[in-house]
Amino acid sequence: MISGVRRIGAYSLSVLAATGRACILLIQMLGSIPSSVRRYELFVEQLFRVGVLTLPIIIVAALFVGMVLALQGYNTLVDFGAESSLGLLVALSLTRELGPVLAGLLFAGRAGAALTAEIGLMKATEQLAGMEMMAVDPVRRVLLPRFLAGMISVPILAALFTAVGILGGYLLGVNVLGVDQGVYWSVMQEGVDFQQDVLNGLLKSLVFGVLISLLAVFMGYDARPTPAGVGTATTLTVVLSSLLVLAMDFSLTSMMF
Amino acid sequence: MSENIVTLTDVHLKRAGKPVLVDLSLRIPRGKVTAVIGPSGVGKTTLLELIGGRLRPDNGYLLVDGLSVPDLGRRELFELRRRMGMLFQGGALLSDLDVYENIAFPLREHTHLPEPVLRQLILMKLELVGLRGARRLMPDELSGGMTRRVALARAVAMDPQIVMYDEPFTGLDPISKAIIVKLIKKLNKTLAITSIVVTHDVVEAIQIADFVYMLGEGRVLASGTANEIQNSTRADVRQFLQGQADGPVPFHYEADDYFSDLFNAGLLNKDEQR
Ligand SMILES: Nc1ncnc2c1ncn2[C@@H]1O[C@H](COP(=O)(O)OP(=O)(O)OP(=O)(O)O)[C@@H](O)[C@H]1O
Ligand SMILES: [Mg+2]
Repeated sequence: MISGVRRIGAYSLSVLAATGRACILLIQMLGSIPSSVRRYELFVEQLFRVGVLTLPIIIVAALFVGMVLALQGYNTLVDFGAESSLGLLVALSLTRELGPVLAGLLFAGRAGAALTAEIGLMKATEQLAGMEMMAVDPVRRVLLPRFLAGMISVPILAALFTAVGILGGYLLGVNVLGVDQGVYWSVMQEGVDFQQDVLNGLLKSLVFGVLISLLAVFMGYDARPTPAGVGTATTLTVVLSSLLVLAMDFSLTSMMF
Repeated sequence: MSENIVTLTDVHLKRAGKPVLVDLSLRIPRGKVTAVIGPSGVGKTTLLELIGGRLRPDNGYLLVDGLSVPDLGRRELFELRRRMGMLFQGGALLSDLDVYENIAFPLREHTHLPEPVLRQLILMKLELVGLRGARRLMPDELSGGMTRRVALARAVAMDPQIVMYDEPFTGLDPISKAIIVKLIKKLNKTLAITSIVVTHDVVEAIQIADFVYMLGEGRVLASGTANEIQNSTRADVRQFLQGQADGPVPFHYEADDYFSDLFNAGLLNKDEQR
């Protein structure tokens, strides 16, 4: 009984301490931005590895999500004779929720896990220690470009997810289900508000981008330098960032809409 | 310029609650090869991590080139490290870069040399370790001995004043060992580098070292020129040099009484409960 309580206490403390270390890492990274501007090519390289290479999965997933939305939306709307609003339903669902959230989740699984594993393995094989002894700060050289690339990538990927999803909805809704093509776009134009819907969606995805990228680089950097340690860290990155994205989505949604 | 480039005075260090270094005092002369020998686990790697500023002593003074390492800020520490090279036990090469780029790494990070100059510098270092032809290999395509040599070339890429070698001979065949011995000597002579060689390979240590420290129980057990150490009559030194399993230097890691430990399975002791 006592030991159970003690264990919960110890666990909570360790979570708190890790959160603290993650915040310190964030501050360190932000602080080293000015001196890293000269090395923007490192950032560009990571932007490619983290962002561009995540594109295929985002596009394919978005296409399917858009089509499913159209199918389900149409079936419901048709009962009320409101199938002409299909475009609005698809667009609002994607800009407000599905774009940012699903892009975030996919990003965490595809890029976040890879980042954690990469950094954790560099730590386990003393590559980070080696850098430090060569007077190269791994936070600046390794973590920062990856963090920034992830942070920037998620909003862009989310926007793309939304756009491709709307296109998927169009393909199915207009070509298969027979919604009028002009109506599909015009209800969207009428009903989607730039600030309320598009900007808020982007803001959400930026928050997710910061969260996932910070978590991914932190977990790798903080991992126990063993094979099991790196494995655990990678799993934790995916699990925690998925949960955090969903929880943050709820809080942000309740504040924004 | 003082004669000793590294000075440790009464250094105390605990790791994971266990004292590793106890009142350790030693001096590393400038421009010489100094070997630090001692059994596994006495804290040889720990000593190098202290000198490199990766660990702080709990107590005592540690001067490197006149600077008190534990008191240095991050920036000053990095400044100092530019003048140090370190050869890690496992090489610590960057696994996504080929041999050439690994050696280029510190140069690219710290200098703005134009590419042709950089190339010349790198090829010179590679020639030094005999691997100019291997420049396009990736680290996972290298043998253990080659990895060590690439790491060595990288450690001296910035022309450091001090190079620390952590177990440069372990896991190598006699020929590779001889090559590394030759290289360390050559680097010391041609580049006037102060070399600190940490090892438990006594034969090699005595071959290259101008001065030898033998560690045991967290402090210096014996010190002297290679000859003096070799001819030492002290029991603990002899045990190590001749490689006897047990003697004044115990075989066992510090532990509870064996008998009670074996038969106490029911009452798990506190560290196993976690
Ligand atoms: N990261 C660590 N955390 C806690 N204790 C450590 C750590 N690394 C080493 N130690 C402890 O410090 C002591 C000295 O370790 P160190 O690695 O310096 O030994 P060593 O002399 O280099 O041994 P070897 O010749 O086997 O490399 C050991 O008792 C070890 O248990
Ligand atoms: Mg060691």
